[in-house]
Amino acid sequence: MVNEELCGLCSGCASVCPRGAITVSERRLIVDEGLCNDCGLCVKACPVGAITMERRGE
Amino acid sequence: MKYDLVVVGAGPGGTSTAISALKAGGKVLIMDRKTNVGIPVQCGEAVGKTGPGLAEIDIPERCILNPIRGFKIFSPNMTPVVYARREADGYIIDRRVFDKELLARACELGADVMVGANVTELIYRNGRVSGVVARRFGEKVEVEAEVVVGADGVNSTVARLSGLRKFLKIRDLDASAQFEMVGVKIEEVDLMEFYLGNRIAPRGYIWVFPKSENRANVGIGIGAGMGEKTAFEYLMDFVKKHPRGKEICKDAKPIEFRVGAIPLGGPNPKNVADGLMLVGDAAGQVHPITGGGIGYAMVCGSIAGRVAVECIEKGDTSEKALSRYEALWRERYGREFSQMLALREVLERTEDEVLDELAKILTGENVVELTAGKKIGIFLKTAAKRNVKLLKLLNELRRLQLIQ
Repeated sequence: MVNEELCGLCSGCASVCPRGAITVSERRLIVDEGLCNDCGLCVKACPVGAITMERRGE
Repeated sequence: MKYDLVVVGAGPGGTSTAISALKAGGKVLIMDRKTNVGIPVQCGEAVGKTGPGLAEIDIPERCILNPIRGFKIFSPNMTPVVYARREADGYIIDRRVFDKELLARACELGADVMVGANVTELIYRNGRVSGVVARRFGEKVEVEAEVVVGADGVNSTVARLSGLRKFLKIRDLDASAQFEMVGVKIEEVDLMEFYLGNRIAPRGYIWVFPKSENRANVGIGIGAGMGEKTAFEYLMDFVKKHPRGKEICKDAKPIEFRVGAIPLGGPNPKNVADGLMLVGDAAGQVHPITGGGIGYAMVCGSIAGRVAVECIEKGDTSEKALSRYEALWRERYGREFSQMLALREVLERTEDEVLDELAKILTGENVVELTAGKKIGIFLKTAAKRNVKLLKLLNELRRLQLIQ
């Protein structure tokens, strides 16, 4: 899940996602939770802790 | 719509590719997913000595904020290593002005441009790339081109779709956070400052890049996921708690906050395919230690643009023909990048105390040459000769052919 208040759209998370589950546009970052396999690499990549392991569905 | 080149990404790499191709007589389209190219700035904004000589890079005057004569590196225990030339050796630039200025120049030279165009697919014909599909203002756009150039950054869509780089390994990424601050106590306005230390910036560094007498970029890059804190938290610790950091930032006010992701795992094994080339961050053309990429992107982009047009003129844009680009840019930077990857691996394992000892024996000139992959000569005083860990480190550097 992405905290849009913290996310600066640097694309670090998307660049390391082995599933290509994260897309970044000029305005927003979207996680395809269907593709996500909870590896957590995106969390490590984020400079501000904007992305967390919680899923939106929960 | 048919072009010789479609360049995906209007950053320094993409526009340099375009400008070079245009000068060689090519018909070029530049696309960028942003409607406001260059913003937000995700960069330290320094174009410096390490990397391509400034003479090769045409930096528009109006983008230059502050000429830089050298640097001061502080080891973990604040041992300084200073390098200062008499003349400017680099610049702090305004990336917002820079990126747009280069794009404008490309257009003035004849490039077509589509801002707000997000590439979603590569078009393949007879097994080779022959264009792109993009989404633009709600509509689907198809562009045909002899060569597609991916200059679309750390999270390159073109690199992913072509299979040349589907994703980065976490250890090949630096996570970055940065303030632009007013009221920073700047000792010398024409020197950049770097702070090293495993507890200060694991697998990275903190930088202070002066923009004027009292304004500076204060930022950090760390190995992604290394250390227990986020890059931002490490930066805040420097600004609030580090003995020197809190002193120089005592009265500082942040006027901008930025984040960034830097691909410093070295170049992709392959940056060409039939009808396709990668340039800049998309290609991994970033210095593995400094994280600098502007200069490399521009020089490699210039090579790519020229080679692409030459290949088109000869009627052969196969991977084999386009590999001339690889040969040319690797001839210039290939060795430097692989040396620096190896050096980074050594430094990652080096304890703070040993870095402190190293800082005592290295000159600024040594650092400049070292980070360019050149062999340096150093003098060891008696005390240093007794430091086993330091000697081990020096032996590793000798094995990498970085020390005589």
